[in-house]
Amino acid sequence: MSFTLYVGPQHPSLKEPEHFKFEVEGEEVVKADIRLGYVHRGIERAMQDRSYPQNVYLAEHICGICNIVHSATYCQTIERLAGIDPPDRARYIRTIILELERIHSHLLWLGVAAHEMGFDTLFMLSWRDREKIMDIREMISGSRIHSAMNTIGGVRRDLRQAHSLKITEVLDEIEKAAERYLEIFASDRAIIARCEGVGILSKKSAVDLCAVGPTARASGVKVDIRKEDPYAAYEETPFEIVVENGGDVLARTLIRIREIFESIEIIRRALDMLPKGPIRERFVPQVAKAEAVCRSEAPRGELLYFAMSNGTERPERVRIRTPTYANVLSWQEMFKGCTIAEIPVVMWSIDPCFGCEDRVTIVDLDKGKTYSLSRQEMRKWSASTS
Amino acid sequence: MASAIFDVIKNLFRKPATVKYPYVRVEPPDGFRGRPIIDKDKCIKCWLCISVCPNKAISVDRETEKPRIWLGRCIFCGECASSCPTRAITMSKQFELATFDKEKAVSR
Amino acid sequence: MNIEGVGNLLRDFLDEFNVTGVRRTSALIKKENLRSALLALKRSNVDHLSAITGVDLGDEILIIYHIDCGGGELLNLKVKLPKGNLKLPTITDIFPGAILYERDLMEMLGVEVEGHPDPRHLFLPDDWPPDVYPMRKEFLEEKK
Repeated sequence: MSFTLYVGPQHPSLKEPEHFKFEVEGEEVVKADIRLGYVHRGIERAMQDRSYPQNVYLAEHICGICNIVHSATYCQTIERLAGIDPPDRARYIRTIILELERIHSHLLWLGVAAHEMGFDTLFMLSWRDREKIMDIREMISGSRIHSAMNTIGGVRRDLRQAHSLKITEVLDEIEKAAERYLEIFASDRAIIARCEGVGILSKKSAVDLCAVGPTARASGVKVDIRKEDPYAAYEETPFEIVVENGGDVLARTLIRIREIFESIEIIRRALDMLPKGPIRERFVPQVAKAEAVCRSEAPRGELLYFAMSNGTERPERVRIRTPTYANVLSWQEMFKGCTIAEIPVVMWSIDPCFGCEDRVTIVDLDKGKTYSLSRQEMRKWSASTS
Repeated sequence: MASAIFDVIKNLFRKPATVKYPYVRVEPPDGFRGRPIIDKDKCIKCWLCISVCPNKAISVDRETEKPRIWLGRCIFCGECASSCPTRAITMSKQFELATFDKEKAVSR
Repeated sequence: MNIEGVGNLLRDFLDEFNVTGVRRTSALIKKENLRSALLALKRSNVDHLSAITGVDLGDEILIIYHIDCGGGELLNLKVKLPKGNLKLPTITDIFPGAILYERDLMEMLGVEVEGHPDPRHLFLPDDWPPDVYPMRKEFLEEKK
């Protein structure tokens, strides 16, 4: 006899509002149903009221973790629509910041995955390494999260020699750290016990349900948009597509750690080959009637933007299909057969970002100690800054 | 979990990763996009900043007749600063902008 | 499958077939031939449906199926539906991955997808008024 278990929308595991309905028999989950729409903001409709350059920022604010890939894909789609090509230096700079974003997203994922398993030490260590990437992003673009670097026709800021040196230094440190994480995840018995054989998605299901990104690659589907439909400078910076065959949480974890190594290689090649020249091409705001589709490989999977213009300076239609949207059906499939205790681990394993949210997930840490600042102390440091 | 014991012991000898903010200040790097500052003497009233702002955060200030940026709507993208022909708007390094007083959350 | 292969396979079903750019092709099809064309594609191992888009063009609604034919080739299969008769057959038995995209079409544009296994709201709340479709042009007029 089955029993229905509701999880959410105030989540115990993800700090994002979604509603799950699990039908369980004893400890085993038989069916899962996911309810979306808690952070639906009507962005596709809002884009029809704003001009093309203003929409770059609306696209960027869809998600905090993967904001660069959203604005880059939007800019590429409008560049295709208007028939302009960004200069070479801009394409290489886009590749560098896109891969830096992939590294930061995977390190964030790694930390929260370790936290879900109860391994808080690894959570702290991986987020400490992630801070180095965030400092680089602040140095290059002016802000840790919303970089505002992409614009239609190219990028807004240039990469200086001093920046390249610092990036190379940090990449060496991240590479050593990632090697250590790979060792830990591949050999630690407790992690393997929690991840191996859990949340299995077979290759047939992954293909039928049109899964994308690391979720599909962990089930043996060898697809990566950076190789199939190259954009930015990915044709000139070769890399390997990382595939695993397990289809379980362990496979999805190992893929993300191994992708960090590939990203580091891509950034190193791009920095070596960075051409000189302008960083921006002129864009005339009125776009004649046309249609364009562009896809890119976000850290979570294939991101698709479709735009249609109507001769004015506002788009007729912009369609955004985010990778988590494509993976929801596979997600429901993965829960079948896992126990209730494994639910948080499986939930986080596809790296969900609902409709891509606009804030990074914040984790509260219970230090076991609380402290408070008196009003005088707060006034003192606040007065010293204004 | 025991395999990470060596990392834990190594960490005992590393210096802490956290900065004791707010007692220790960290200077943001150059090019940081903080609060936009308006230099009224340089402004030539072309109003390019108003048309470029993605979020309609800039309006004409009634008293000074120069731009007025409401920080509640500003997304700190820097489009106003990059499009200003006289560099009247610059992005400063101020980021501690939380306040209870709405009048303070304005740049003009 | 390369794009010439796809063009030959679907020659009898399509009204139009144009290669519009590098790795981009656009094709127009009548809704009666839609299922047979998609079945033919699925049998030839073209099995990744990237997205389904709906656009309100005024007096008709354009539905675009973005299909990845392998090797990065994207086929935009278009179906036009007159506003008086917004019925479309479901493709969820051929491409199970289309369940959510068709739910999105149903709630945002008011297209009736016949035979859909789960016609609930996807993003809109339960107490959203019926017959109000946010992506239609009329919605924009009402708001003004």
